[in-house]
Amino acid sequence: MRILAAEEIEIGVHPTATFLGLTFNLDTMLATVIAGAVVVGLGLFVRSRVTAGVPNGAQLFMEGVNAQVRRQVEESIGIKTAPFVIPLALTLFLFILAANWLAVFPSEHYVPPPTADVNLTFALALLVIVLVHVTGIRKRGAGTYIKHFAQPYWWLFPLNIIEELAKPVSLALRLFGNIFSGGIIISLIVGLPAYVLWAPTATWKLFDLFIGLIQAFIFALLTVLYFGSATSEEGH
Amino acid sequence: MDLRFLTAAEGGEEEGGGNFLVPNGTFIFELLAFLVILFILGYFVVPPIQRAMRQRQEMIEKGIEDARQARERAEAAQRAYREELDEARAEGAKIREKARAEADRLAGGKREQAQQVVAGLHEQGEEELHSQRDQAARELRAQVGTLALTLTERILGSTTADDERLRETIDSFLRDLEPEPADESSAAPGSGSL
Repeated sequence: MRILAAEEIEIGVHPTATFLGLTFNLDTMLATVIAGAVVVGLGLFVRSRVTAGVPNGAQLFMEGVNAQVRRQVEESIGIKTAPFVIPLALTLFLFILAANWLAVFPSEHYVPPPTADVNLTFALALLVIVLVHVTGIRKRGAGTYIKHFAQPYWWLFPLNIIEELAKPVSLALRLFGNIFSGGIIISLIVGLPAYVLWAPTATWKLFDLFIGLIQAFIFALLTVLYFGSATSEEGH
Repeated sequence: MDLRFLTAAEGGEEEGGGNFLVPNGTFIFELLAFLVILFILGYFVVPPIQRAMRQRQEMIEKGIEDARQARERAEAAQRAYREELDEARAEGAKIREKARAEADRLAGGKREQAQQVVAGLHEQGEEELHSQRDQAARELRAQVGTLALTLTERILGSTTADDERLRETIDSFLRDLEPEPADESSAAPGSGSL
């Protein structure tokens, strides 16, 4: 294996391609496809052997995640109010987890974790926040929904709007920052002499696994909570 | 894919304008990719898993319910069995009591009857004994009188003239030996026959 020197890794730089006047980050796209394939593959594998009897390990994992998400949705929204939040939050969790854990492989140069690219995190955050607002308007009516931003006092309206705008941005940048910084740490570690390199690398990658899990969990949890606050009757 | 490669890693900074916090076309790809994954999971994976979990839940609940019913049935059966057993015991005790009373009654009657029979036999035996003794005494007395007379004749060697008087003497002697005067009447025909 080739040991990368620190100067070879450039932060936030991607091999790109242009299509229809738009720039595409090729490595992020490749990593997204891999992470997506892992999640979809796991899902279809579980589906092919799904049983009401004794589940295998993969099904047990999926059931565990499903049960957690379901409980969370039930507590903050109520399953009947927004049943589609369960597959959404579950997919978010699994996909972000798979994407984050790509950081464990020593392939930063070719297949970086796609969550270390704002394109992915903004895309997910925007999708979530749009769905949240659509659900809120559908549940309570457009007028009531917009009016609830002026509560408890009318002059809080701008603040509430800023808060709503901050939600997707913070959601996206939190995930991006955590995973991206993991890459930075690795690039700093590889600057060390080769004979001590392995120890901090192994340690950091283990920690990175933990961060990846936590961030996936937080993203999914916040998604559920945002849905909850948008559909709840008592407002903010 | 109809993608034109423009740059490699080294040229990225200039092409992207240097700010990696600004999304580019990748954003659209990521959005679509996630929607595809969401669709697959939402339609093909999550429902069967939830169905399986629900079925398992129902199976477990049914198992618990079945077990509860079975236990209730068993308890009811045991209760009924105990009640019947108690009833049977009470019935048995009653029958036993009755039988004992009947037995006592019967035994009492039989004993009395037996005692009467025994008493009857006893009395009869005594009467027979009594009459036999009387008869024996009578015979003896008659013989003693005759013997004494014969003895006297042999000793004296001749028939006494006053045979009647001697017999009278002997008889009175024998009468004196008798304790009761009632026997005299019974002794008289014996001696008279001789």
